[in-house]
Amino acid sequence: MDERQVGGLNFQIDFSQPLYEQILDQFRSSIAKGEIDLGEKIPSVRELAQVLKINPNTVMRAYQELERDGLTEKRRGQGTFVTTSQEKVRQFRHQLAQEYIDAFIQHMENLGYTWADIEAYMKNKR
Amino acid sequence: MSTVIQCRDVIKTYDDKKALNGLTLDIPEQSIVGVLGPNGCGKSTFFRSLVGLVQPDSGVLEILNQKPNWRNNADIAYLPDRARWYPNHTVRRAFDWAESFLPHFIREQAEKLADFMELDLDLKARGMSKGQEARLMLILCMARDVPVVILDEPFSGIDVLSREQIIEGIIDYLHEREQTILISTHEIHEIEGLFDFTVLMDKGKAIWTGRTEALRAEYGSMHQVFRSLYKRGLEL
Amino acid sequence: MEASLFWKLVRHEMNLTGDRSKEKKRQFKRGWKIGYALVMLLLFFIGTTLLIKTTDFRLSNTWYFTFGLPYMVFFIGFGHAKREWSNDTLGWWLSLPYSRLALIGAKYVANLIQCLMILAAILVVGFIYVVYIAAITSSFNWPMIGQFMILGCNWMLLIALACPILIGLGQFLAISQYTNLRVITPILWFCFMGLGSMVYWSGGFFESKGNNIYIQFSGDQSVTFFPFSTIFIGFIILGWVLIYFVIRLTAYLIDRKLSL
Repeated sequence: MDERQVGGLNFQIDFSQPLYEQILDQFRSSIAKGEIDLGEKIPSVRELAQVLKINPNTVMRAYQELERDGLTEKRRGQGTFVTTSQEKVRQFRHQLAQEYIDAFIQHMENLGYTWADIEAYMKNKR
Repeated sequence: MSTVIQCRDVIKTYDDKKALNGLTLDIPEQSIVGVLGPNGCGKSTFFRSLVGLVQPDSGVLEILNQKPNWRNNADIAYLPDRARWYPNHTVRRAFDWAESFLPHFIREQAEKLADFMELDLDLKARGMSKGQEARLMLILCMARDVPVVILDEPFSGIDVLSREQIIEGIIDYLHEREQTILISTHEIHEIEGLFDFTVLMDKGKAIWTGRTEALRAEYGSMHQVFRSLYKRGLEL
Repeated sequence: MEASLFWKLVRHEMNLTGDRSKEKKRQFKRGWKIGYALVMLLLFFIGTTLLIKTTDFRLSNTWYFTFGLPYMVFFIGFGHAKREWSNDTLGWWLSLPYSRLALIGAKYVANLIQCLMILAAILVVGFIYVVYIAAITSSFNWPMIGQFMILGCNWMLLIALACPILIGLGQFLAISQYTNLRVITPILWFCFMGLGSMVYWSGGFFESKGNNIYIQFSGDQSVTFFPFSTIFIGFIILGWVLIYFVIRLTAYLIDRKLSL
């Protein structure tokens, strides 16, 4: 596991996992957690590729995906910036929360727990 | 996606040793391809046959939709293995040479790369360190606007600093071009993040070919795959 | 291939100096090399002066010093082709997108020009030398200078006519050891070296019977310009035709039969 810093962001690259997903996930969670401010500029494809020593195409694909999510936007001649819309980030956090819960429920159901069991677990936890 | 290189059952025998023993693979265009394997696995013979230096005994081999031949080499940048540069040339004169003889060589690009990789234009090949010479030869290949670039062991015997400069140079350059780049190496640690397509070779055969991300998802880091794979001589 | 590009290749070949495999053995700086050559030349002048003054050494005997020239020409062709291997530059050379005949032809033409330049330079040095000798000794006169230079011209001409053959054979031998032909390379060595001695001992090359270059250098006979027989000219022309095919064969070898 390699840890590297780019423009105030920490990246952990694990060469035993697909790189594209790692980059995407790390950007998503950084934006969702608010580690990168709204409207802040993110490193250029070249810069990130250089620091992480990975293929610029991989970075580019991740950036395109972020743009599709609505989390970033390209500004002509200036680079890529995190969206300025609070609403979009909120939506994305919501979407992420849904995904986590779905995954959690899926896991629990796979183990054979019913909805009532899950509820009981959750209450206990609190 | 169309393929740029096709091999079907390519065999090349030297005396009684099989350098290529039924090599079969397809390489998609516009990808960065790592051709990996231990010394003597046939990487160099494969590359040499792509530029027509070696004639296969049998099998089908095509690059840019043609059987390898010297005319085709106008569209291929090739860094030979264990190559050196002409000892009496300076960097500048090497660029003159490339401008005269290598089609699609872009001098400004070469000078930009030389600047980026900290290579003095007045330095003579005779007085260069291995790393400097390697950087010069890499620039001669990378400053060409050709569809295929073939780099045979560009990192062997080079200091860490030069290696990093070369990798940075490649990344920098990749951002601007659309080419297929083949890189063979047996030291993959620093460079594995660059490959989007991987060919694992052993004993003259391709034992695994595919997208690097798929290899990672399936087997983990190439570095680990490489070590365990070749130590045990395992078949995938 | 355009003619201008071919000549650029020839220029590149002519400017090729330095052999990495030999660099470790003798590391002379350029200045040292020139100094070394000058000292050798000076020693040669002093040595021959002494020989002429103290022994019955004849002026024309001086040409014996150049006896090895045909071999030198052969090894220029040989060494130049081999250098791509010993310098580890063959990958660059052979992956150039030009016909193999152009690649080998450029080396050939470059070597030919170099050899002819060397032969011309030797004649110039020879002239300076003979004038110098004439100046310091009372027994030499202008006709003798003329005889000396005619002899030299004949000898250089003989080598010049043989150059195209010698260089082509040298290249072929150098390349053959890196191809499928390498099994017969020792036989080729034997044949070529034997062929070389013909240049020296074959009397049939001269119009007057019982003559050869060795006898010519002895100074026993007066010399005439271009004393060569029609047989000799015939051999040379035959050699040139044959060497054309040898060059084509060499080009074919590097195209199809390399053993890398």
